[in-house]
Amino acid sequence: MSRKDHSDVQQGTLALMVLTTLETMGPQHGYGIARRIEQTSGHRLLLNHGTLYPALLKLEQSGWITSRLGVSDNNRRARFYSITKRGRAQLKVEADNWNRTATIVDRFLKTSRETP
Amino acid sequence: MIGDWWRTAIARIAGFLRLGRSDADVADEIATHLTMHAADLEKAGLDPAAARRAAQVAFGSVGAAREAYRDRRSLPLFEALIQDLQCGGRVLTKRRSSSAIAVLTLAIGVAATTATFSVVNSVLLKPPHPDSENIVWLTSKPARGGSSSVSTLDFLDWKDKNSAFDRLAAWQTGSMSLIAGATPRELRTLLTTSDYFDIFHLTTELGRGLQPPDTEPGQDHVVVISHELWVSEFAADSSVIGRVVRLQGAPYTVVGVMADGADAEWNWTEAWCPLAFYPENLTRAYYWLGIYGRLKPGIELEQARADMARVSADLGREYPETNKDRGVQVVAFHDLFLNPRLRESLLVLFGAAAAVLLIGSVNLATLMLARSIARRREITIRAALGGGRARIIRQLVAEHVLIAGYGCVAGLGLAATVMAVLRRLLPAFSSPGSNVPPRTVVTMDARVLLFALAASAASVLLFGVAPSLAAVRRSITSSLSGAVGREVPGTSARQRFRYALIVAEVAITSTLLTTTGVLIRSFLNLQRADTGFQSGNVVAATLPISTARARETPAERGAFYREILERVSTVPGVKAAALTSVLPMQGPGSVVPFQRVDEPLLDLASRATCFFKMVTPSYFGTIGLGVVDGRLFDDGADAPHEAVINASLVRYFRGVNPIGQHLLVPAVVQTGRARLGPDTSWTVVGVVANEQIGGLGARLGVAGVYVNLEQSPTRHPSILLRTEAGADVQRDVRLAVSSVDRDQSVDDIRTLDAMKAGSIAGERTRVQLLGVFAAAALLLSVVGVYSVMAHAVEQQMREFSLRVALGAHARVLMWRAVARGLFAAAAGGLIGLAAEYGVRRELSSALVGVHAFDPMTLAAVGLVMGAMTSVTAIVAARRVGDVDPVRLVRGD
Repeated sequence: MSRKDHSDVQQGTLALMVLTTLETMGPQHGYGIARRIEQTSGHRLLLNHGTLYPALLKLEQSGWITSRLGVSDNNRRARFYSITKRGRAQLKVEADNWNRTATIVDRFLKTSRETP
Repeated sequence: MIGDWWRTAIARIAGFLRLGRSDADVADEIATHLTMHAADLEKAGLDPAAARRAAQVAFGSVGAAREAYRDRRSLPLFEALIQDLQCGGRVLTKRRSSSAIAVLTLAIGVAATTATFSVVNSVLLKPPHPDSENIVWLTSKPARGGSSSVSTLDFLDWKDKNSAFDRLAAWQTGSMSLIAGATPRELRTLLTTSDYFDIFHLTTELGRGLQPPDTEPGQDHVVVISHELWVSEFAADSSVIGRVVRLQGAPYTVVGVMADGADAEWNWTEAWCPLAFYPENLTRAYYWLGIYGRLKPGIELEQARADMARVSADLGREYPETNKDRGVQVVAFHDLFLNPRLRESLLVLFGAAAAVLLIGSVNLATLMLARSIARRREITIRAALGGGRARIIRQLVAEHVLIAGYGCVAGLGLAATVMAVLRRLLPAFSSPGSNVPPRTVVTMDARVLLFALAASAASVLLFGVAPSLAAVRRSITSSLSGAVGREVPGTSARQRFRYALIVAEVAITSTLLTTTGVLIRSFLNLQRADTGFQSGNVVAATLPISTARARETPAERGAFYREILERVSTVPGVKAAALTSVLPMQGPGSVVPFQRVDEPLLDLASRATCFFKMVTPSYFGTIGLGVVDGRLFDDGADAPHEAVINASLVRYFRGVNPIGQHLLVPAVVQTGRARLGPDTSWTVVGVVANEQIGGLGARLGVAGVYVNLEQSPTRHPSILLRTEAGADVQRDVRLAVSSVDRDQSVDDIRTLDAMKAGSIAGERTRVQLLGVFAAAALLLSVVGVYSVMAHAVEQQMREFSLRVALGAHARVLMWRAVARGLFAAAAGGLIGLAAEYGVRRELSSALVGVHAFDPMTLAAVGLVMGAMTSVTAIVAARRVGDVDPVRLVRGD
């Protein structure tokens, strides 16, 4: 894959990760989301925390997440993001796509291996 | 999903407009992120400094994140454009004076062309009526050619038999006197059949328009008045409907008030009355009606013409004495107003304005070129630092766009002022026969604004952007090595381009000056044109009919006129007085068919025509119309029917001496009775010189007959008085007239000289405006030639210094530079000459008494341009004389 394709895939996956995180964990600030993604994907996907913020903006512009100012657990003022109804719907669609793709590829690989 | 795309788009536009989160907010958020991460790492055991560093490393480049965020938040392309414009704006403000000059130069050109274009648009391009394409004008075409009005029975037959029109209306213009208040007033009236209102979609603001029942004989004493008349005579009183007023002495009921500006675009009528056909009007050989028609939907002009040809052929078969070979002419309504004289005047003016714009643009080119060259060093450095070629070009273009914008706005403002002036002058074009209604509205509509924008854009694009880009193209790609900005400038291509600018400017200016000069000479000739009579010290006025007089018999009227003349002749200062049915230069009055008595009788349709004026015998002496042969007719109603013919009519007698011959002319009966009277035999007793019946410069050869006013008393005579030089006889004449009849007013007093001047007011205005444009062009050229030469010299200063250091004489170099400029100017002059030669044919139709390629004018223009360029070149090049080699050594 070219570098651009790679980053597109990364972008797409990142978006998915963010939505999943917000759905399972509820409203989070930027750092919280980054930490969670790092924990679950094992420090492999989010190379730079900085790339998170443009991604968050894109999600917000598309109306899948929304944000407001709040207070963090350390009594710090931070911006909290939460998933919207549209976001949940989009997440389901994306997740279904992933699963379907994964199943097809998996099956394909299995059959290829089986045939001599 | 489409919905998402829309949301994103709206969000990004909001971001572009800086609604929502600011840069500072994002910076805060990122800072908080780093702090939180550092805090976590500290909890995990790192010391604060290491924790901070680790957090920063994990985050990556803050700058990159913020930039990516900024780009996504808004619309990068627009942001870049705005930045370019701001940058361009800064450059303009830095070089304030040359920017101002550029904007001003452009503004002058744009103003001149926009103002002229708006007049062209309103008068020539905009149709006078929204439905113009479907409205046509029909005239009768006699066998021997030309066109004439239409007879009643022909009109009625056309209406019956045609299949191309869904409406045909007949009309007659006239003037009726209105008695509504204290003083009588002459109204411009239009008598029409009811279809006229339909054809032009005329609406009334009070009451109703004319309807078919109104045109029944006996029911036609109703009138619809114009809005202006309603306001001026009836004080806008809404109870005017139903009021009875006296028109031409008869009672008329007001049934409607026309909406404001109803036919302002082509007619300016004050009252509309029904045109009823009484039994005596039902003739076929008296031609008095104008006809407008509306094409049926789907019918084209050509089809209508074919249809009417068929109808007229049928009529020709049915009524051979009157209609044999008589055709119909169908003309589109819009074409009625394309008076060739006006059109060519406007096009000439537009050409002159375009020339001014061109010269201004050339100056703009010089200016922008000089600026770009001065910035070459800056641009080269920027390019070397990775400024991005497209970006640099975009910023250069942005600068020009700003100048175009300001120039356009300033130009429009200036144009509005010019147009206010032009509007004041436009009535000069609506002299008799010009077809420009006095209320033509000259406005700046969308088309004009678009034109101004296009003119500015084209000008700046061709003359600003293109040369500037060419000048800096090498700078953008060249390396920084060597002497930046110290390369020997003035490649021969660039020098040639500069001198080409001089050539262009001189060429355009000389063509404009020559055209103007030739038109000025033509105008002067026109002023001195022969009219056949002497207009000096002659005063004219009209005698509008009053109530009492309207019902007189011809004999009573004749006696009344005689008394007026007698009283007026006794006024001190009056040397001669006369009455006439039509004043000189106001048209032919009545046009009648005539023939010799001793030739076989022809029907009226086949006879030749001439004009027919009813005058007192003193007419000829009062205006100085010379008697060529024979004598004048005698005074008195009982005198035999004697007539005087003019020199052109003599031709009709084919060598036989006309004196003593007899002419057969149908009696001219007053308006309202559509029939000529029975043939009357008039004895020719004298021949006079030809009188000018059109405007100055019109053909002086129309054949005509004069008869005694008392024998054919017209209802609206005009009075002519020859006075002592400088005598002001107005008051005394009015007193004399009112001593005969207290209610008789004397209107519209003016001198014959003023009427002469009025008839060429259009040409005068044209010449004045051309003069203004030519002066502007000359001024701009001077500036242009000076800038080009000064700039060329400046660019070559190093070269000159070198030469002087090597032993050349500074003075010689200076004169060489001047010579180069003059050479370019001479080339421009030759091109201008060729251009003038090229347009000579188009121009010659507008010229009187002078050739388009007139040597005297050419010589004068050559002298002026030569002097101008010489002086300018010398002043521009004088610096060369002071060249100092020491500066070269110093390294400037």
